[in-house]
Amino acid sequence: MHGSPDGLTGAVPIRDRTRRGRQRGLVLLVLVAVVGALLLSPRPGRDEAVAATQPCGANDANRASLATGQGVALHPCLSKVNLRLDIPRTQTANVGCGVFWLQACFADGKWSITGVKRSDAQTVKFADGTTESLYRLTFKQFSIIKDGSLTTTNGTGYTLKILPDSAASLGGSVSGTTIYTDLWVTGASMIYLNFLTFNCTSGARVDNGLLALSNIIDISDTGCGMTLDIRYAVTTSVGANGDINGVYSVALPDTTIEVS
Amino acid sequence: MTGTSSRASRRLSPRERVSRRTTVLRDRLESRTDDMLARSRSGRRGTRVRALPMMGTGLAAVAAMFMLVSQSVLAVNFTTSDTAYRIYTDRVSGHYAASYINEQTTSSGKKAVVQFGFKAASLNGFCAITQQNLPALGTVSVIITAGEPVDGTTTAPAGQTIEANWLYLASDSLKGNGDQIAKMNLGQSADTLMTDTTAFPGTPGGFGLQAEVMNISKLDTASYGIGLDGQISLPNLKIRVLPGSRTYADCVSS
Amino acid sequence: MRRAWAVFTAWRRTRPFWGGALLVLGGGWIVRLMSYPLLVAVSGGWNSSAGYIMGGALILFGLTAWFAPLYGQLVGILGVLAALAAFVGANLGGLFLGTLLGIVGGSMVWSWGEKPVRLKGSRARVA
Repeated sequence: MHGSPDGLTGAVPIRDRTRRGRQRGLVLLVLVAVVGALLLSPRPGRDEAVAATQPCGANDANRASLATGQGVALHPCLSKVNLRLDIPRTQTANVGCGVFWLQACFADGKWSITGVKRSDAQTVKFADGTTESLYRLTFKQFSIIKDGSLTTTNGTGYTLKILPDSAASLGGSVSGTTIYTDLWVTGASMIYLNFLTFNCTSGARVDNGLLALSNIIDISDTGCGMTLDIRYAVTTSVGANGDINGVYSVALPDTTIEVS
Repeated sequence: MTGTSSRASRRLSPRERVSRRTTVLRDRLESRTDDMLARSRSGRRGTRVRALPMMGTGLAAVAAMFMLVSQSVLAVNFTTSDTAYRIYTDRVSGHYAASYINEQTTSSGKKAVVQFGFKAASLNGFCAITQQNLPALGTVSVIITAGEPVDGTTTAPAGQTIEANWLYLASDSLKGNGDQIAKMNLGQSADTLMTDTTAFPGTPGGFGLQAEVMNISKLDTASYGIGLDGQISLPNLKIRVLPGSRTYADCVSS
Repeated sequence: MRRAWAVFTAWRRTRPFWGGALLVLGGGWIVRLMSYPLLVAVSGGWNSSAGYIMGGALILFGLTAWFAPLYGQLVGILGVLAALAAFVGANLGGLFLGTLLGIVGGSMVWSWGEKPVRLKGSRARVA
């Protein structure tokens, strides 16, 4: 028979030798393929040589130069996506509040701060090269007590919603250290609170000149609502370079994050 | 004679060449098949009993590796997308976290997900539940648990913290207590996001979130992709397969 | 038709068919659980090629067991090793099932060979 070795001489006939040769070739090929794939596959670990900071536009031309209210210098590359912080007002009565008790009443205590400063209008540059005139609001120990939600709008077709359930603090004080939240907002953003000439019904636009008064007075107050269109938000504490040492500035208890 | 030599020296037309070649191939195939038939009859072949010790050794090796993973000595890689895992953890303490939104291609079309990247994360308890439709058995849930039991309270028994490096998660919904989030900024262009010194680029111009410390307790997330560029240690690892769809209550085995 | 079936049966008997089939199944399960669109696996970003390599290696070893039965011993051991490596490198070896199939298949391939003839006397050696 062709296949079996000759019992006497042990010689393997030619046909077997070609069979063995063919199969050896196949096994070698498979081994080379597997070992090659193992050696050439991209190594786990993002150790590609990437620059420590990414360029923002050609030659970093579109990087914004910002400074926080405490004087910390930042150079972020800003996205144009808007983050809307919405704390809607809850109307409790139709009349009975305001200067002549003729205005509607709204529930107070939706948010609280111990100080606020508003800068003058600044021109801020975005990653795509366009600029916008924004106001920097610096809140001291900012807490959202109820009904707040953060939503991104006009992004890449998808929206991100951050919905804290109970008291969320963006810069609430922890163990005595004061945390500042710097928000770069559009002039059309609205803050609703009862203070001086501002009231909950009409609220105050951020670009309203009177808000500059806040630079003088350290107001500690609660408010009834807020609608801020934020382009960039940063939390810092007073320390070298705004460093946080063991202090946690943002607490978002029982929060749901959704994407749609 | 002359006829033969003239036939041999006559040039063959293409069709004849092809048909001659196929005849040769067919003959070769037939003879090899006959060889094979003969060989198959020439003796009994099959899996011999000596398979059993080999199988035993292999299984013992897997069991040993399982033990090593569960003692946090050996770390594993875990990467998947397009399989929905519901992940629960009592607490995740993340360092250098960044996130942005993008779309993930799944077998059911594109999905909007938030991509999270953590340079380092410690988890107190880990429970991942995924459902697979097996051909004969229907829907089964595979429950992978590691670390302390995931029951909502962080007990942190010694040596049971799960450490992961370069953990990436793509989720479309996330619920938890953001206990401590420090040095956060919102609104950075997503293609410039960094987790410490390593880039985590997202869609250019997209909305980016970055935080140096992100501690979330009682995390419940529906994740469509888990990626580990580093490794994860999984002390106390258990894999259970249970029929039907299972949820959070089954994270703790009774 | 009968001849075709006889040829198939002979083909099956002259190589570690079931062992190789288990290796292919194990590799296929591991790849399935990686559940990645293949193009994403090779481009940057999420790195999942380790799982594809382990699963792919198991499939290749299974096919090699079918088409190169003379090297069954080598392929069997490699199959078992690849299944063990997949446990660490590929989603816990396809949530353990892939690794299990790989170990059983690899052992079957490794041990495939001539069974002792029932009659007393000569034992045909494997060609």
